[in-house]
Amino acid sequence: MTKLLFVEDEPRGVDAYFPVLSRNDFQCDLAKSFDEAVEKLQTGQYDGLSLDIMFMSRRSGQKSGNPQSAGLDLLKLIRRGKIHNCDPMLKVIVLTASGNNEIKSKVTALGIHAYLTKPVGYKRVMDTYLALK
Amino acid sequence: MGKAAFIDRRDQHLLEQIIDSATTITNAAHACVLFSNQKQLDCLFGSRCTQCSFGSVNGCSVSFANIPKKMSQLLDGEIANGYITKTDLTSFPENGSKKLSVRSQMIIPLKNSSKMPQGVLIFEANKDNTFRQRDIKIAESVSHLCAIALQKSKMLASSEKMLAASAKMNAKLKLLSDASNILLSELGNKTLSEKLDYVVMKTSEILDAQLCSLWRVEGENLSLETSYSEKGKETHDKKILSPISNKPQLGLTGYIAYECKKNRHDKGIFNRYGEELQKLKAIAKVEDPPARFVPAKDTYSELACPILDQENKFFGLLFAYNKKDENGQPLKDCGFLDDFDVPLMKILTTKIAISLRNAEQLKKLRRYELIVESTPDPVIISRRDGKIDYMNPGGFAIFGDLLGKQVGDCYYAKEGSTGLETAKEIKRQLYKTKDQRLKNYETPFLSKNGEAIPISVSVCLLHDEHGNEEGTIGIGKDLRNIKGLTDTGQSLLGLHDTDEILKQITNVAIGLSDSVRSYIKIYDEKADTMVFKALKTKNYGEVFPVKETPVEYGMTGYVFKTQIPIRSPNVHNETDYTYYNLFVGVKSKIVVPITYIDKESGNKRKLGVISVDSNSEDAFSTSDQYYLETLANYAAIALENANLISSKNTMINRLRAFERVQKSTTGKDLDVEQIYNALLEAVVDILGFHYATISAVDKNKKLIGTIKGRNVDNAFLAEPWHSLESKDIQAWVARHKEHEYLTDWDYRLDREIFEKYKHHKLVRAIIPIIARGDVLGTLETGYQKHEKAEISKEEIADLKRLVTLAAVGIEQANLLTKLKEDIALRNSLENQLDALNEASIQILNSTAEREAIDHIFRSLRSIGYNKGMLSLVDKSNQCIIGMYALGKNWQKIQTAARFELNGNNLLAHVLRSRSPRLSKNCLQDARWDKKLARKATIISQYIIPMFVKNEPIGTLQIDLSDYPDLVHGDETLFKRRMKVLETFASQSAIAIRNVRSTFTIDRLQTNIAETAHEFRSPLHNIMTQLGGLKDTLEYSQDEKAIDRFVNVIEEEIYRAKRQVDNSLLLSDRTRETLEYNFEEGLLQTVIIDCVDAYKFRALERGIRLIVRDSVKKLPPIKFDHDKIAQALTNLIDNAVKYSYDHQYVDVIGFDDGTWIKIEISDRGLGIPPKEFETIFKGFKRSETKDKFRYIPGTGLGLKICKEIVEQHGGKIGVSSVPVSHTHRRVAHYQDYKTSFKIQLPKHRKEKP
Repeated sequence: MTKLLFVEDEPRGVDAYFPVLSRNDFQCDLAKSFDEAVEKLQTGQYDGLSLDIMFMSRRSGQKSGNPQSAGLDLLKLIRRGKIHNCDPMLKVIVLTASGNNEIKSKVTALGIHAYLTKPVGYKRVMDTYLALK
Repeated sequence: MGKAAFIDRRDQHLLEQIIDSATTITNAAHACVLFSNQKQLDCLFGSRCTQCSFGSVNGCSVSFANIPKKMSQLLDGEIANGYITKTDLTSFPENGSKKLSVRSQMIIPLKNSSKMPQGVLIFEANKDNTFRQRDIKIAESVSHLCAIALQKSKMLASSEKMLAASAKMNAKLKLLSDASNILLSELGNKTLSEKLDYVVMKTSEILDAQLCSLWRVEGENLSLETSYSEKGKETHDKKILSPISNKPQLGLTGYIAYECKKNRHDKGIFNRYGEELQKLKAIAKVEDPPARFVPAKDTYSELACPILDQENKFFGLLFAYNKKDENGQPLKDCGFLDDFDVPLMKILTTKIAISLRNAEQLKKLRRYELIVESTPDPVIISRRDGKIDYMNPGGFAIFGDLLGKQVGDCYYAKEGSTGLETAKEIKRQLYKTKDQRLKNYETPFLSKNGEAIPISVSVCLLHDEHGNEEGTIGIGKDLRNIKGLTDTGQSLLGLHDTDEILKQITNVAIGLSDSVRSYIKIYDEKADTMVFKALKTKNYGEVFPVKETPVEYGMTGYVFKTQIPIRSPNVHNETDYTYYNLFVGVKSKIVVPITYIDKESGNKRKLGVISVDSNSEDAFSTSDQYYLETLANYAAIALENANLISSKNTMINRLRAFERVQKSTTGKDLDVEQIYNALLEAVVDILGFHYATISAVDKNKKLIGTIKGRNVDNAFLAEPWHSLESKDIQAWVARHKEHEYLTDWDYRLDREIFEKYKHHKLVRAIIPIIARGDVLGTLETGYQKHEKAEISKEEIADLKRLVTLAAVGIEQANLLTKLKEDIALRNSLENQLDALNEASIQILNSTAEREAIDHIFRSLRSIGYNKGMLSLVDKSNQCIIGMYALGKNWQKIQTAARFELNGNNLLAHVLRSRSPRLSKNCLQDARWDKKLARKATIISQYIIPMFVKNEPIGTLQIDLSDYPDLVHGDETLFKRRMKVLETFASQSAIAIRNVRSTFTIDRLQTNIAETAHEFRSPLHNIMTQLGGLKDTLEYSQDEKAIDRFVNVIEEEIYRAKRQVDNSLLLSDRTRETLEYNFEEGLLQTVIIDCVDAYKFRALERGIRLIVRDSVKKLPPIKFDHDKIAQALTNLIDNAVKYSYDHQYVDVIGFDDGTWIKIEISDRGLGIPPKEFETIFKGFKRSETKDKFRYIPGTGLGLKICKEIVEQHGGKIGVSSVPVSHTHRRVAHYQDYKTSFKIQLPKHRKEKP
């Protein structure tokens, strides 16, 4: 059983994948905001992460994050081991509508499994996720 | 034998003979020799002397104690020369009781070469005779001779040779008497040159010289007058001259003259012979003129004696050459004797001196006599006792015969004084004067008819040779005529009317005694005739027999032609001209010419003649003629002054006037001032107008005023200027461009000024100064009415021509000045443009608006404009806003400066007219906000519209309050300066537009990312949902799941469509070309559709979407369904976006009769009030971003809404108010109810 966390503020962009993934021995979970994502990652039970870039930034804390690059910030935390119980080497697939190349290069530099730009075909997404197994 | 015993008897005899001769020569009565002894003067003749009048038993001997002072000075050698006195010895006590009469005496020292005299020689004159100064010279010569005789006599006293010597002495004595005879000779009838010839001839005889010559001084030379040799008078072809100089090389004669002249106070004799003379001649290398007329080969001896007058003035030289021996041969080693020939020579030169002086005096005297005889002025000489000795004809004419009578009889007995007292008074005045000459003493004299005549008398004392007063001589000037003439002259000069002048002249002229008529003939140049003019006659009813006569006709014609006045005692006897009996009975007549002599040029203008007739012969005197001549002079001046004498004269003046102006208008350095001055000078000084002023036009201020004047009150020049449009006469003339002629007050004149400057006394002409149709000013000139009552047409024509001439010059001068200014301006403008161009590059390279503006303002400051404002057009809000201010005052008003683009304000007006505008006085400019003007203290500003092609960018306002000169100065100059700014503004406009476009592009670029996201998201969602749907259909066929997939897909498609619609409106170009289709329909259907499209999305976040019932009650209106749907979708999308989760968004509708209103509200972040407006401008998403939630959007949605609503003729607005917390998730966030309100007109008005 592979546990996947989807960080996505528009559930309709990912929820259609869940039945297929479930059939392929995946357990899918959804976090709609930065804080929620951090909260869930701290459980340390996830094997992979589907990360959007532009979504609700964190609400608590000293700094207010930039919603334009919330995904990047979250990835930085993971890779730096700042999230308790979360494997810094967690497998990450980025799925975003952002065409911002700057962010893409930054994200890629942090080490990710795949970078998918919306809109992306159903089959291709499935292949990417299934490859995580 | 007494005290003179040492003298030999024969010597005494000799002396007696000498003295006898001397007595004869000097025309004396007696003479006596007194020898100086130890205690007294001894008489030569001892006690038996009867020579002197004072002779007594003791002879003439006098003891030293009794000698008069002057004589003892003489004996002591203190006085060198003899003197004349009056009976010096009368006081001798030895004279006893013998009564003496007063006689003239000559006291001559008896001396040879020694200074101390041996005694004195006394000459005594006859009872009625007195000695003269010249006699002393002779007496001295005699005395000298006596001294020599005495000396010789002593030497030869006991010698054997005595006898021979005596014989020789006798011979000498003969010569002496010969010489004295010459002195005595009357030579009365002979001319001067005959006299001189005679003396020279005699000199050669007496001195035994081979040749004698007489030389006279002629300026710097000595000229040979005459010369005699044994053969007689020498004749010479040409004048022989020898320069008087100290250089013998130039001529020995002149050199001798120089030496003699130099030593003339010490006798000045030149006497040389033999070797001594040869040496001198050797120096004189040039040919010595005298050698030519000396028969001998050489001159062996020369004797020259200066001819001196009493004052030692040097007249010339008497020469004697070559002393001859007994055989008549020249003595070679011996010359003229100092002790004998020299005294003789002196006697002879004395005679020459006397002759010359007499001749000169006689000449003078003759002239004086002539003057005295001929002058009409009275001359009277009176003796010391007051008796009249002499009267000239002039004196006889006035006083009658007064010879031998008392001079006091001449004077008119004034009240309280007699004539004698007047005479005494004059004498007293005379003594008071320094030089004893009384000048111009005015007193009345008594005429022969018993009238009192005003006479100005000049009196002088007369003295005899001894300096004693002899009498007085007085010359009078009859003041009657002069006074009369002066008065006449004065009155004539005041006249300007020719006829009046002529009339007055004849009136005065007929005043001459015995005259029956006087008349004037004036020369008519055109007809070349003499025209009879004024006639004054004593014959009742007499008129001119003819009007005119030919120029050379009769006596008047003759006088006119010759310009010589004629006084004819009988006209019928004259031969120089034919006399025509135009008037009956004329016997004597005076005709004098009237001629004007121009003092400057000396040119004469023959004007005519005055004639005075008398019916009796020889009726007029010379003084009458003189009187008439003076009158004619006055007349000529008066006529000339009247300025009407002849057209010729006027022509000359006109030409001069033109010349004066012409001069000032030519040349390199034209100066308007100078031209004006020349014009004034020409008009007043040359053409003779009383005054002149120049008024100038100030084109910019549209004023006219006097700037210069001649012969006018300074206060008048300072009078205020008039508007060119006023009724003021100068303005009138300037406007009408036609001259005006005023003789009295006129409604166009200022009454006050008219009276203040006494203009009623003037006749005035005002002439416009026009150059190429432009009026530069006016010239006003005129006369005083009493001088000249009118200005003739010819004069005005002349003035016009003068003014035209001046105008050409002024125009040229102005052009020149303008050209100079232009060059200066062009240079300065070029500099400014250069600076601005350089700045423009920076401005154009600016990447940010602020940077561009900074450059613009810096450039403006660098060329001197420190205040102003740059306003930019806000197209979306249809307004123009003060964006950037330059200067503190403008900063104050910058934020308040906001103007409707369609409104009636200055900036909008400038933009609409697309041309710059100068607001000279902002407070008076209806289009400019006065409050703003006051707040920023703006007086003048220049507003330049900024366009790029047809696109209005904004306006540039330049504050010109600090440049009143520029604002109110020359318009062209101002325009040129502003042109630079305009060019600059247009460049700035491009820069701003560029910067702004760059900005837009930048913003668009950043938004493209977002836009892409907005497209990608719904597409991705659709693809994902479709994938899910396919999977479901394949594996589960769950109906519910399928429904959801389909709904979500539908929603996402709808969302994608909205993005496409919005993006169509993103670009201005596509927005403008969009067409609206207005169709009637219900708004609620559209609203419900829009809300439905967000149902699931809202549900995902727990947000409820509520459409209130009020919406469903809205009436149908005309609207573009698609566009309104787009607008509403945007608003609902916004509302959902900004709403907090689990809140609700509601839509409310209103109908207020005119408007349909829809309100869409959410409860969420809210919008700060300061952004209520900007959020509709595009790219301006509210800054109050949700700090934790990404809200996608292009920032163009609201802008598009606004445009759509406005296209419907509606309005859009927003409000945001805090609401109570219904959901306390985060305490420190306040919930706001944000409502967007759309109002659409119920009845849409079609746009034209």
